[in-house]
Amino acid sequence: MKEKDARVDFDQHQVLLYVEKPDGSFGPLQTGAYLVKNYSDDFFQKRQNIETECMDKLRKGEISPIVYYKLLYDMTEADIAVRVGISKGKVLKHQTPAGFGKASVEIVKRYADVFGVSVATMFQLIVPKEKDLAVASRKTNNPYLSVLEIGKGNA
Amino acid sequence: MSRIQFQHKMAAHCESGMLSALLAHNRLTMSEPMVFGAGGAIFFVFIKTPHMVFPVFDMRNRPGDIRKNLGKRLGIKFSTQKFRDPDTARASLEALIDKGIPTTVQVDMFYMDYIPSYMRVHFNAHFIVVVGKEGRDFLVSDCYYPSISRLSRDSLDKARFAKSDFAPKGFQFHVESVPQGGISEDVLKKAVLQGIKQAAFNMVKLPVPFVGIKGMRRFADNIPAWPKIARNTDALSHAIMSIHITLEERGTGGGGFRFMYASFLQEAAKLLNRPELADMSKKIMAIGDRWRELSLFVARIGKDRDLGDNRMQEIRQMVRARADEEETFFKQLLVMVK
Repeated sequence: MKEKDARVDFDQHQVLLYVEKPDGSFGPLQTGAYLVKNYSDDFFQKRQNIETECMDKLRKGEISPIVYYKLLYDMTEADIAVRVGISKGKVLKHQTPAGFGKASVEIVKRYADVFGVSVATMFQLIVPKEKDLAVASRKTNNPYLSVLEIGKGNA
Repeated sequence: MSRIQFQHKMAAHCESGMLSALLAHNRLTMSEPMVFGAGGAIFFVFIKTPHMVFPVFDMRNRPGDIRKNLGKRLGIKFSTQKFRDPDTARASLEALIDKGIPTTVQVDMFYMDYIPSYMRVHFNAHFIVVVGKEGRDFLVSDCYYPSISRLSRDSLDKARFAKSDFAPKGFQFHVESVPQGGISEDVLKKAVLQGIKQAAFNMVKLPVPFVGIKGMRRFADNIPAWPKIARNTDALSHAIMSIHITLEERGTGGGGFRFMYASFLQEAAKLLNRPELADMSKKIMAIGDRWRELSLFVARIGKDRDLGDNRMQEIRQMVRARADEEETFFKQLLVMVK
């Protein structure tokens, strides 16, 4: 790939590519990430679609949060099971609200760790009523307690 | 609080880039492509496990093999450890940092606090170098990022003990010793030839149906089945566009590592004074260009949701064409280094 063809003007996400320099030598070029620059809107739209699809089902009690995060992170029940340290059968059970209700706090904590959220987030939807409100969950040294910060701009 | 003076720099790939930086810290200058090539890293493997929604592929050898091959070929000793629990692992890591030894840890990329949300995927074979500690945070050199990053103790613990495929089990290593007086030209020449031979053998001779050229064809033939695996069009689009990520932006240097390999062969041609390797470097660069055409194609049709059976067949044909080209290329390369 010629150096001029590899250049992508995108400071937010840089990658290192190996390219053909004008003198014919091959070497590294730090440049913007092509896919992120041109297609990240599509990625976030897909995530939004998953959210829309799952939130309604979550509110109606048709699915548990496990289904939502499974789809969001494109994971299988088998992978979730190994990461949480339980059987695949249990993960299948925990995908219904009734089954999820039988999971211990310790198991929910392990799910939360795999999905990168707090334990509290597994039990609630946080929906800011005002557009300019930002919400952020902060970890504490207590593994079962997080702090939800709500504020204008970047929380 | 401690911080090691470590020369951080971005690299194409986490394992080869991190090794190149570690060697530089130990006064051995070796480019990332040279680490990659002498480590026999160019590869293709088609992977289908119950832990994945869609089959995936990779275009480099098994994580950890570059280090093992390089150590064996160049006489570099790496001290490696695995652990059963985070507390012991952390104590060992902190002791090394306190001694001023930059230490590489294997991590699940998902827990790297500094990555943007769109990069948060569970991938257990990412390598970062820990170069310091400030309060409860570790300072890490991740060659996918322009500067030293900060990682919380909690995240590092989770990342080092994530389960599933390639589970790190707290794995860490550091350079124990390098050959006195550096690496001689003869040793390096031999390592380069061994690296080329191993990679070419793996690509065309290894009798395993899911690796090398055979694996490439198996991957190609699997793609038309993807619409049946996908739960909806978005999921199929995501899987198809992930081909682009694997080829270009998940630490390959572009063209599925083929551009970096071209750079290595150019360097090898000079070192060995073998002009035919320079010709081969141009050939693999051109093959990389055609992998890139494929990656741009999948990104476009993925975004357009233009994902009919005919498009799946087109991807299949493109991958098969790359397999044909690479079969010729690696057979030729193998003959040259025999």
